[in-house]
Amino acid sequence: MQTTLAALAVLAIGYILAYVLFDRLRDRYGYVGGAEYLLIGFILGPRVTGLLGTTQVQDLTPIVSLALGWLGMLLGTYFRLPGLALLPASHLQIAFAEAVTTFGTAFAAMLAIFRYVAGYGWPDAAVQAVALAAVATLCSPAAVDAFADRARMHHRILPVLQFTARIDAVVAVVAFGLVLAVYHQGGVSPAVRTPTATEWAVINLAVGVASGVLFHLFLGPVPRLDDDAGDSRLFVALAGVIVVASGASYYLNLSPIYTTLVLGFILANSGRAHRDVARLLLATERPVYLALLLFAGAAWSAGSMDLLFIAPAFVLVRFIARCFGGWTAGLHIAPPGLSTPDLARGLLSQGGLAVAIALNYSQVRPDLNPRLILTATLLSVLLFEMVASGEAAAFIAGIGEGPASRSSDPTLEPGESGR
Amino acid sequence: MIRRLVVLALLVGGAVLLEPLRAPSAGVIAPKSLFLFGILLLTADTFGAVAHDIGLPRLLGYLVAGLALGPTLSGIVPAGVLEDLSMMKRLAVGLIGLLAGAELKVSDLRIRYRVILAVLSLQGAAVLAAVWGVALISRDWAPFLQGLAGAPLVLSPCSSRPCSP
Repeated sequence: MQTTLAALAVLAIGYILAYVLFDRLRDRYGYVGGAEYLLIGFILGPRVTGLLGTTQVQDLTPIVSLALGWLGMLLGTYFRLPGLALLPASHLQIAFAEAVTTFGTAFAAMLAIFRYVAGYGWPDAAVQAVALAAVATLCSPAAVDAFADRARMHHRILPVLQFTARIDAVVAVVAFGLVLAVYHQGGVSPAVRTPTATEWAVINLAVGVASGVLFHLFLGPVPRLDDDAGDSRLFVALAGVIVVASGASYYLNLSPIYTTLVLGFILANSGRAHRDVARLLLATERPVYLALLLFAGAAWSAGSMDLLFIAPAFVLVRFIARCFGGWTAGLHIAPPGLSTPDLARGLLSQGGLAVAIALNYSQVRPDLNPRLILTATLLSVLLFEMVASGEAAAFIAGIGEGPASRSSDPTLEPGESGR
Repeated sequence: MIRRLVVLALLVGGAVLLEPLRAPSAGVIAPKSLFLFGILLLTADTFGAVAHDIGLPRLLGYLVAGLALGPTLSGIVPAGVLEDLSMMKRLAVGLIGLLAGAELKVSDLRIRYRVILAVLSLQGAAVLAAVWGVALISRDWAPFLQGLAGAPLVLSPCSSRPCSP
């Protein structure tokens, strides 16, 4: 019963804070939030008040898997191929260049730290480096969006920023999902042969594809569901398929975020219900994110002090990788109308998926420094969310009014902010 | 309907295929339970829609879905999984209570408190009297009611056996 109460407390606090505080802070000050929820979670957790005990935090792990799947699916639904086909090539070039450069830089730096400073073997160093590089690559344009909304500004670079954040997320989630599959942890039944690395990667992808195809068939050629009853039915079905896909990944010790990303992508590009699916997922994004932050705060503990230096080193690496990625894409890849050396200033905020990836890592690889990865991620969230609004304001001031975008990002549905 | 049933059958088949890819493990909620919970949700949605189409409440469809997949009939969801999912049950009940409470408006209650009190009192008294009467009359034929006096029958529904927690 304690666990149920704990889950309810986390959900209720997340929900209330999301709607009472989050929107107002974002609209008035461009503050995207995150740090305070981590602190509340830490205070509720076993190390301070003990309202959420260690057992309760462990008991909530499957619920966290669902939340991870929820966020992964939402990310997948953003990528509708008809919308992507309308994007200017320059947007794609900027987004992919920024994502790959940021990920590559962070991965190289973290691999060197884990291999040569911490002394891990190549496979273990690679797994940890990919996890942290994925976290480093993730970002959110929410702060920039808030300032742009306040100033009623429509610069051509703003849709690029939103699209770049999504490509960053895809690169991070795919890399993270693949590394967990390739260096798979966990035994199989004695009755079957242990799958190879490639086979695990294929199984991971197949679970996502199969879930997407089956859910598409399950929904069928339904009309748009505008009424409340239709929404409720779709919500139950949606929850069911996310539970199935996340549960399968959780069962196989793989990444639910990656699996549901594939599921969301398939749903976004098939059937007529994609708008309703995306709307429902978007409506629940903030409470899910805040519940994850609260859970992460409660689950946090410092772990080994010997390796704790890696956490601040990671924050520095992320800052450098972000700046390098933004500089490369914004100055050398972008066409003259979109050229800006300060692209990274608009993408400093960490966003919700970073915490999701760290929690997912803690579930799947409890043998390989899960506390360090979570500590580094939470430190990064705390520090970057603090500076993100200031940097976003400077970014907006830097680009000025500029040329207005002729069309908004076609991958965005009405009312979306690109977070 | 047939399409949905085929999808559900494929999901169950998928669950069987994936089963050997993990060594048996236990937890507060075993990983397998989460997967089966998803299948339960989708089955419930399907059966709920069928019930709605034939003019019955969706809730009846949900109950039939649970019965069909549960240990009594098909056994696709074994008893152990149901125990694992008891947390979900409590969470759902808690959420229903939370949301019901959130929808209550004190101002509305103040305006209509007389009607509400009257309805509640009458309803409570009527149900109590009816249950009491039926129980007293059927005492001789229902083994679990035998040996009960009139007053304890009304006052304590748990008086004949220990209350479950």
